[in-house]
Formats: sequence, structure tokens, C-alpha cells
Amino acid sequence: MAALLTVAACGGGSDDSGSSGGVVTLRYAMWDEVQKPPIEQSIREFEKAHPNIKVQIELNSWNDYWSKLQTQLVGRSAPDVFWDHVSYFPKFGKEGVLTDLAPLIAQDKVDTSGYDPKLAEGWKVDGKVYGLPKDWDTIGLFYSAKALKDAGLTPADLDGLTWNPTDGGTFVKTLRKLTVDENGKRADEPGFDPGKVKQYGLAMQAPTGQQDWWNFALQNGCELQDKPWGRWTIDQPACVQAIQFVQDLRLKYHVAVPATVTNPPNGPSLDQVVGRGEAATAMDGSWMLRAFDTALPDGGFGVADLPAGPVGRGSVYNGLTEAIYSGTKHPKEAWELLKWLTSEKHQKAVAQAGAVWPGISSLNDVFAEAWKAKGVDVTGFKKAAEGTTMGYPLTEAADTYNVKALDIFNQVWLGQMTAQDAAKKINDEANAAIK
Amino acid sequence: MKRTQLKRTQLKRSALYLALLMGAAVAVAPYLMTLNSALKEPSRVLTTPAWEPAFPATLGNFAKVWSEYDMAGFLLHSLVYAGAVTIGQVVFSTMAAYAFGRMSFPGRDALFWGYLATMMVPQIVTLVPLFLIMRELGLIDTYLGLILPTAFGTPYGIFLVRQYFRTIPRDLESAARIDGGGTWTVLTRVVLPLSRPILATLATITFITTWNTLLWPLIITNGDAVRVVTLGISALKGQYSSQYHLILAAAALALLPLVVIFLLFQRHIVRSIALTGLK
Repeated sequence: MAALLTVAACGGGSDDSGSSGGVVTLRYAMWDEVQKPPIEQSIREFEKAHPNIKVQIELNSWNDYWSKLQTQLVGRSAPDVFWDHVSYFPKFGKEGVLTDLAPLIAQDKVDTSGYDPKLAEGWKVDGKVYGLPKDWDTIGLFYSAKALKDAGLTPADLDGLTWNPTDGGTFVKTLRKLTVDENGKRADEPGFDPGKVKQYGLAMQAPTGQQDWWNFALQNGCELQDKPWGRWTIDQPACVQAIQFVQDLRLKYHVAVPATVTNPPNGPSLDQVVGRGEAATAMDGSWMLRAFDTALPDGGFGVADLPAGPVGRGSVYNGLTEAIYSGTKHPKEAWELLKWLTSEKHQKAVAQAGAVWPGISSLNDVFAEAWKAKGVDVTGFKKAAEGTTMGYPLTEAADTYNVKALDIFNQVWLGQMTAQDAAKKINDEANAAIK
Repeated sequence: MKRTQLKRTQLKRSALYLALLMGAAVAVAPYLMTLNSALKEPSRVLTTPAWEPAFPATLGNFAKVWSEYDMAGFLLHSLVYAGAVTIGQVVFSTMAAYAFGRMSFPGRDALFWGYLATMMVPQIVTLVPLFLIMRELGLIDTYLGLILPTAFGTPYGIFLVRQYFRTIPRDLESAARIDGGGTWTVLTRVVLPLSRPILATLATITFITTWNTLLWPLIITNGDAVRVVTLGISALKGQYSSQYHLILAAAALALLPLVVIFLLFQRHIVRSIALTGLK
């Protein structure tokens, strides 16, 4: 990739237009249809406040978004402002396609203390700041209210569950109660037929591990890397045990939806699996709230905490940022837009719509209230974020890891490879890709 | 004796038709399923089996897709894109096919096979260079940028028409030439009237392929002003929550123009496969 000129930002007032005196059109790229309406509304207000700037939103789905953005970066015609994700950020940072916001933040004295430091820290490299937090997400246990009721359980019964590598603990015990075969026999009753299950206790699906075994790994004291930007260490016993546990849930305990159904990228999303009554609960991210809300009848679902493991509780905690393209022709206007997008006013409007948890911590209650009004308690995600968390691994080998993990873990879940072999293989290949 | 034979033919016939019926059912099933699911209430799309009839049926999904997304715009843009490419392809493929099939000039065959060989190169390889060319021409986010790469004929189209032209007896052309017709006259007055079936086939295939293209429009267009229907539907499949009731309604809407095109041309398509040059 050609070295890209980093455009020096010009000075600070917000009213005098630094361009050719005309109106500047900024391109802003995103991938989530659900978040577009509230964002669009807020951007109209931004345009009113800045008559010299027009914003054009470019929306494409997750997969399309990244292939398009990378082609545009090669063609040096990327959008001025765009959403960035941790798995792509290291590559972008290295290729110099992101604007360093540190001098701009200093010059406009932007207060960044409102963002959760755990979110903001990952986007800083050698004193450079490559993005400001837009939102965050953690993993929770979504449950179908009907399935719980049929099993004689209450949502409270899902709190405080524990798992361990030897017998599965109270977590597996509860999932057994929620697993029903075609004759109506539950997995903890005599005569249960594991070959003819109608409803499983749990559904899992994660292309990388973010929504399944990474959480168990954290709860089992495993570290995915020796340090941020460091080497992968998923072949350690604590990590292999977590991978083994996910395989056991499917193949040993028969309480989780088989991999033949859920393996990504072709399996149906988990809101569908639960919506169709094929699973009672699902481990999934807070970004899926609106999907579950659509797939299940009103008041038909809730969210419980993940179980605790041998070393305690924990969840993967991740967030997106808004970033500025280093090749933008309108650095000043792009910075104005970014300031708006990461401001309290804008993030409050998006949180009120129940789209995503906001990057500014003090607005979390706004999002929780929006869901409470719909009868769904989402505070578990927040509790998870405030507890023991693990960030998305920061690595230059994300591409390699993602491709290998998808292929190899799918085999483990199908029972075609052992957890130990898979961990070693992915570890070696991902480490080989680190320069 | 006779009767058993008759019976046997009947049995064979029945078996054949049964097999054909099953084939047809497999081919049509996904479309019917799309339509059926698009008519269901959002909460029932995923909670009921796909084959369960949409009852009570609702047009709500269509109304929502139509009002919340610029479906009318997407369909119009796709129509302009596919229409322009189809007209271009039929015109230029015909000319090129005649030159390659019936005229002699030095290097004709080498050129033809060389051009045909470009079919072996996956589109993804030429994607970035093509994108860079369009950027230099200032055609990003324009109809021209969308249309140009495929409007001047494709190896596939030219090959298809050329093979058909070669089945038309030379005597017909010679007769026209003796009567004093030039190349242009021969092509428009003799060859083309005989080639209606294959041109209809080419037009249909081109229209449908272009209508369904996702990759090139994704890369070359950015804004809503030239957004085509495939991109519109793809964007509905957000990373995080796929709103299937809307996607299915949108897909059903996108399907309609193709059904119309096929019904218009289907007679010709069947004939182009069934007949050659002379009766």
C-alpha cells in the first residue's frame, strides 16, 4: 500500500470555512442499519449548526463494509469519517490511514475523561490517538421467558450459576432442565433421548470466540496473549479447558445446539434459534438486543449474567470508535463532525433510541431506561462491563487469527478435532503471522 | 402384446413427468418461500416453519420497506443500470460476434481467443485496477462508472452470439451480397432477423446478471443517488441484527421485474435452444 500523506490539521475556530468558501460534503461510513435513523436525525442538527458542511451517510453491511473500505483505501478515496473496529485498527494504524487525533484534542481542549478508560486506552499507540469511543458491548445470557416458565424456572434462577471443567457445575445442571426431547422428557429426567432433542438449553455462535469461549477462558484464568500487541498464548491449559468446555456443552452434556446448526458463517443468528424455540438461552452480545426484540414476542425475553468460572466472573468488553481518514480533503470539517459524533448530545440521542450502549459512561442509564420502558432489564451488560473484563485482543495478526479460528474451531465444535490440537495449531499460525 | 407396450410407455411417461415436476418444485420452492414469508407478521417470520402459510397475511412488511427505505429509488437505479448495460451489450456483442464469426481479417482468431481468455481471470483481480481507472476518470459514484465496464459486450455474450451466427448458412448471406448488399445490410437485413431468439436470450441473461450484481456497484457507488437494489437489500442485513421480514419483502420486490422480463422473452429463449438456422 502506498504511503499516505498525513494531512496536517489546520487551526481551530469552528465558524470560518477553511475550504473554497463553498459547502463541503463529508462522507461518513457505517455498517449498522439499526443505528442509522437516530444518527441521521442528530446529524441533521449538526448540519444546522454548521451550514457550510453537508454529511452523506454511506451504509453497507459488515462484510461489504470492510471489502469496500479496503478497496477505497487502496484507491485513496475512503470516506472522511468512518466506524472502526479493534480487529482492523492495528493494520490501519500501521498503514497510516488513520488521523492522529492527539494534537486536535489538545488544541481544542476536548475533555476525554467522560469515556471509559478501558475503552479509550486500546486506541492509543505510542502517544497517538486513532479514534474516540462511539459505543461499547459486553456478552450476556439472553433467555426466552416462555422456555424458563415451561421448565418451572424464574429469571432469578439464572443468576449466580457456576461452571467448572470436571462436571459442568450448576450452569450445566440448569441447562439440563432447559433441554427437552421430542417426548417432552428433560435432560435431567430418566428416559431422556439425547438423539432427538427438540429444545436445547443453550445456543452459542462466535466466529472468533468473542461470544463463547473467550468468556469461559477469562472465567478460567486464561490469557489469550502474553501482553497487548504480544504473542498468542491460547495453548495454555486454562485456555484449552475453556475450549474443551464449549465442546463438552455440545457433545458431552448435550445441552447446547449442535455445531451443524450454529457454525458460522452460515448458521442462523441466535435470535432466530431462540425465536424458533430451538434453544432456551443464548450467549450473545448487547448489540443483539434489537434483534431479539424483533424475533421474540413483546416481553418474551430477558438478559441474565454469564455464569462464573473457577476464578470468578468475567466478560469480553469491546467498543467501536469514530475515526478520521488521514487522506481526507477536509480535515477541519471532519474533525468538527467527529467532535459532534463523540459528544454527549449525540450519544445521548442514539442511546435513547436503544441502539447501542454509549461511549460516554455517564449516559449508560439513558440506554438502560430506554430498554426498561420496553420491559427488558439490560443492566447485566453494564454490571459485566464494570466487573472483570477482557478487551478484544490487540494484534497485528487479527486477519490470520480470524480466518484460522473460524475454520478450526468449527471442526472442534463438530468433534472432528481435539481442543488441544486446535489451540496449538491456531497459536502457532497466528504467532507466525506477527512480524 | 400391444397393450403391455402401451402400458409401458405410459408408465415411462408418468415417471418422466414426475421427475420433471419434482425438479420444477425444487427450482420454484425458494421463491415461493420468500413470498410466503414476506407476507407474515415480523414476529412469526422466524417462529413458524417456513412452509406454514402466511395466515393472517399482511402487507405490512412491504409497506414498511417501501416507506422506510428508498425501495422505489433502488429499483429505478437498478432498472437504469441493467437497462443501459443490456442495450449496450446487445448492440456491441452483435457487431463483434459478426466480425469474429463471419469476416476475415488478420489475427482474427488470435484476438478472439485472447479476448475469450479474459473470462478465466476472476473479477476480483481486476477490481482494484478498474476502480483506479474510474477514479482517474472522475467516474466514482456515477452511472457511467457503473455501466462502462460491461456495456461494450463481454466475452461470454460475444461467444454466445458468434456460435449462433455460425449456424446460419453462408448461402443466405451470399445471396444478399449478389443482390448488392454491403456488410451492414447483410447483418441488419439477413442475419439479425434470423437471430431474434439468441438476442432475446442474451438480453435476458444480461439483464438478470446485471440486476443481481453486487460487487461492482458496492465498490464504485457511495451515495443513495445511484444505489442499486442489491446493495439496498445487502445493507438491510446489518452485521448485528438481520431484519428478515424486511429483507424477504425487499427480495420479493426485487424479484418482480425479473419475472416480467422472463415472461416477455421466455418463448424466444426456448426457441434459441431448440432451433438452429434453417427450418
